[in-house]
Amino acid sequence: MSDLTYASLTILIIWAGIFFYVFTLDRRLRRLEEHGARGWDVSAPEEE
Amino acid sequence: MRWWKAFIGLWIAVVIWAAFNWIPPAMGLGETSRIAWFHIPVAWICVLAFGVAMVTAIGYLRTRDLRWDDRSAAAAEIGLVYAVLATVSGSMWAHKAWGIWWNWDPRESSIIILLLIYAAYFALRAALDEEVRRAMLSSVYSIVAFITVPYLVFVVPRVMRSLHPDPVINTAGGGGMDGGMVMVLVAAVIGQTMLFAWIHTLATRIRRRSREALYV
Repeated sequence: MSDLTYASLTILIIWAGIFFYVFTLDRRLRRLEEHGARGWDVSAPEEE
Repeated sequence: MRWWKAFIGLWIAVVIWAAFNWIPPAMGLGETSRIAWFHIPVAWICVLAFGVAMVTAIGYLRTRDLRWDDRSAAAAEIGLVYAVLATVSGSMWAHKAWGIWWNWDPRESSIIILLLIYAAYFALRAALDEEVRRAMLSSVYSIVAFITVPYLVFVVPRVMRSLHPDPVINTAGGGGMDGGMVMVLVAAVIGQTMLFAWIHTLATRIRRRSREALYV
């Protein structure tokens, strides 16, 4: 693997990590807005 | 606020383009030096996030308003994620530059200690059910934890022998970087800082909404 490809792969891993984290946050927020506490913890009892 | 997100995306896209096309590889480090324009800002956000966690923890202790605790925990969470990314990217760079993934260099050891300190912060939060008690104890912990950050990040790597490139940004001429490299690095740091500000609002909203849904 060339040095440039290796550097690109490393940088891709950094951005993939950031995007995955932001995606996870966005999904958690959407679930919370749609389902309340159950969005945070799906094992929690359903709200009345 | 969509324009703000678009602006951050555009800024970062320009930084990525410039890091690969506008500046040459650094002398002696070759093409792998391009990792630095992303690894350093990630490490910077790690320190910034832990700093924000401490300042907002002080905010909680002064006001006893749980919204400050939400901000503090959100910042610590982002700091932990960025610390993992800095560790992974640093290790990958070390593999190419030093021929070894990990050699317990002072900077590598420091970030592992930081990871453990802030992992313990979340273990503490998870162990406490009562929200006021949790906010109180974790705020105190966050303040004490941050005292170690300047020591581990700025002091230890400078007083101990290290293979890590010595202060990449220093006061004596930018550590051998030319003007273009400094510009890209500063732009990358600004881009990551703006991204942090946005992620922090997102993570804070999640913590506030989940707290309100569970306790109100």
